[in-house]
Amino acid sequence: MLATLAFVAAAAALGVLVGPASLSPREIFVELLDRLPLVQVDSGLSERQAAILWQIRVPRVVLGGLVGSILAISGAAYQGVFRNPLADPYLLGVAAGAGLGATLVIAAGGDTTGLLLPAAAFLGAVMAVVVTYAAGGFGKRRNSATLILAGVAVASFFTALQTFVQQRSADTVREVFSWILGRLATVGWDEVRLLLPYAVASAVALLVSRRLLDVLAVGEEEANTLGVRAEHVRLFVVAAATLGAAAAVAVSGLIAFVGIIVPHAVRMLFGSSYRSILPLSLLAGAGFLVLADLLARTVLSPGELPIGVVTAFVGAPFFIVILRRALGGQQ
Amino acid sequence: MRRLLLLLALSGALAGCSDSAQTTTQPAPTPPPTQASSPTTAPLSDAGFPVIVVDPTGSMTIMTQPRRIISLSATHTEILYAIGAGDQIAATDLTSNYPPEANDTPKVDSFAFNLEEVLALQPDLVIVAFDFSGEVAALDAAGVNVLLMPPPTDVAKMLLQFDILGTATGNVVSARAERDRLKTAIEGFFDVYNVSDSPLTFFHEVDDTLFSVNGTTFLGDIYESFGLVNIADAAPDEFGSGFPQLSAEFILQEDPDLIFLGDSGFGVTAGSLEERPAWDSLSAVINGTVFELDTEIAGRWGPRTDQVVRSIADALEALS
Repeated sequence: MLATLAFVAAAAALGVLVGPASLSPREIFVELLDRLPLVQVDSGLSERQAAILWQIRVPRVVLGGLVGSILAISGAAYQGVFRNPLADPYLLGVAAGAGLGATLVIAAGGDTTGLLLPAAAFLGAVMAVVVTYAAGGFGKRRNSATLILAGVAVASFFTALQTFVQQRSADTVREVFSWILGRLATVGWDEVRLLLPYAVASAVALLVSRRLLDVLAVGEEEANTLGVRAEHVRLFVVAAATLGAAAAVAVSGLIAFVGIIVPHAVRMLFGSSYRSILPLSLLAGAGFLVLADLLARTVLSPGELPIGVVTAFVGAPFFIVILRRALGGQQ
Repeated sequence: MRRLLLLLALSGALAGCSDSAQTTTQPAPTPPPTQASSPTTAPLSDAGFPVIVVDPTGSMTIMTQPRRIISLSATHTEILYAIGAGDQIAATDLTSNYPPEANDTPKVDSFAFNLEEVLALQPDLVIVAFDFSGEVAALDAAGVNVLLMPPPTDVAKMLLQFDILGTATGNVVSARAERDRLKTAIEGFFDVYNVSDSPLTFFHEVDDTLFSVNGTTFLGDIYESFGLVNIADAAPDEFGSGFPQLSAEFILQEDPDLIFLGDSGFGVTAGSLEERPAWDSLSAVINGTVFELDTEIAGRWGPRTDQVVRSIADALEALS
C-alpha cells in the first residue's frame, strides 16, 4: 500500500514538474507552496506561466489520475465479478455505447465543446450496458458467460450503428476519430469537476464490495451457499463500475488497456485477494495513467501523441505476457 | 495506426500522408501518327493523345482524351472545372461542392469507396487525393486509369497539379493559363505583405485538439512565403504527416503573435478561444490578432487558394 502511494506521489510530482513548457522545478515548487494557506511567496513565474501550470498542467495530471484510477478499479471489479482475467471496463459495451452517443452528437452538428458531448457519451454507455444486462438475462439463471456474450453482441451492434452514422460525412469521421483516440490534451478543471462525483461514488461503491468479490471468486454456487446472492452482487458491482467507466470515457474518450494491465500487475505483485486488488488498482491506475500521459506529451514534445496510443503501446506487449503466463499455468 | 493516419488525413486540411514522391508530367514519346500534333487542345478531341502522366504510384499512358472523369477529391473537382474539364466529368464525390455545377453531377462517396459503384459509371479516368482503402490498386486491376494526386508539400507542387490535370484531360493551354493566374495572384500577395524584416510568429489551428500544419505542407509553405514563423515547426513529425498535434502548454509558452483558425467552420471562433483554460492570457487573444480562415478553402489546394492567401494578407495588413 505504501509502495503504491509512493508510486502515485512520484508520478504526480513528475507529471506536474515535466512538460513542454519550460518551467523550472524550483519555480513550480515555490508556486505550489504559495498556494498553501498562510504561505505567501513569490515564485517568479509570469502570469502566463502560472496559467500554464494551474489551468493546463495540474488539471491534466489530476484528470489523468482520476481516469486511470476509475478505469483500473472498474477493470479489477469486472474481472472479479465475471471471474474472467480478460474482462475490462468496456466488456459490456461501455465503449461502444459511449462512441455511439458521442458520434450522434457530432453527426447532428451539436456543440462539441460544451457538456453535450460527455452527457451523450455517458448516456450511450449506460444504455449499452443496460441493454446487455437485459439481453443476457434470458432463461432462468443469468450467468456470467451469457452476460459476456450478450456484451459482445451489444458492443458489435452499437459499433455498427456508430460506424454507419459516422461515415456520412468527412467532418464527422474526423471528430469521431479524435474523440476515440482519447483526449487528455485539451482538458481543464471543467472536466475534473464533471468526472469527480461519479468517480468518487463509483470508487466508494466498489471498495465496499471488495469482500463480496472475494466470496464470489470461489464460485457462484459456493457463494450462494455462503448466503451471498451472486446475481445481486454482480448487478451492484457492474452498475457501480459502469457508472465510473462511463463517466471516464465521456470526458476523456477511449483509453485502452488501463483496465486490464493495471489490475493484473497488482495481482502479480500483491496477490489475488480483492480486498487488496481493488484499492491498490485504484492507486496504481492513477499513477500509471499520469505517467502514460507524461509520455504522451513529452515523447514528441512540443507535439502530442494521443494517450490511447501510448497505453496500447505499453499495454499490448504486457497483455501478451499475461496471456503467456496464463497459458503456462494451465499446462 | 491506420486510424491515426486517417485522423491526420482528415484533420481539417483534409490532407494526410503527404507524399514526398514528386508528381510530374512528360509529353508522350511519340505523337499519334494520324494527328498533326498541336499545342492547343480543342475540347473533346484526341489531339495530343496519347499522353504519359506520372504520379507517385508510377506512370500511365492515357490513349484518348478522357470523357468520363470521376473526381473522388473536392480539391481536384475544383481544379477540373477551373481548367475547363467540367464537361468531361461523369461524377464527383460527396464533398465536391464547388463550383456549384459539381453538385449536379452524379455523386459517389469517397470515404466509403465502392468499386462496383464507381465502375457502373463507366469512368475512363478516376482522380483520387488519397489511397485510403486500396482504391488505386482496385481501379488499376479493373483496367481504369487512376491518377493519385496527394496533398502537395509546397505551392510549386500545388501549381504543378494543374499542369498534370491539364495534360491528362487534354486541356493543356487552359490549365496553364489558370495555373499562371493563380501563381500571379498568390505571389502578388507574398510580395506586398512580406513581414520577414520583422518576423511574426503564428499558430495555425487545424482542429480544436490543436493539430497544426508544419512547413512540409502547402499551407505551411504559404505562411513561410509571407515571412511568418510557424511555431509548429518545432514539433517533431516522426511520420512525416505534416500535421503535428501541439501541446496547449507549448502554444501558451510560445505566445504566438498571430493565431489563424482553420477550424472556424467547425464552430471555433476568436471568442471561443477565451473560454479555453489559460488561453485568455495569450497575447493574440488579448490583442485581437486571432483570424478565422474559411475552413473549406483552407483545407483544399486549388483555384480558390488565392482567397486563403488574401485572408492571411488581410490579417497582416490589419496589423500594420
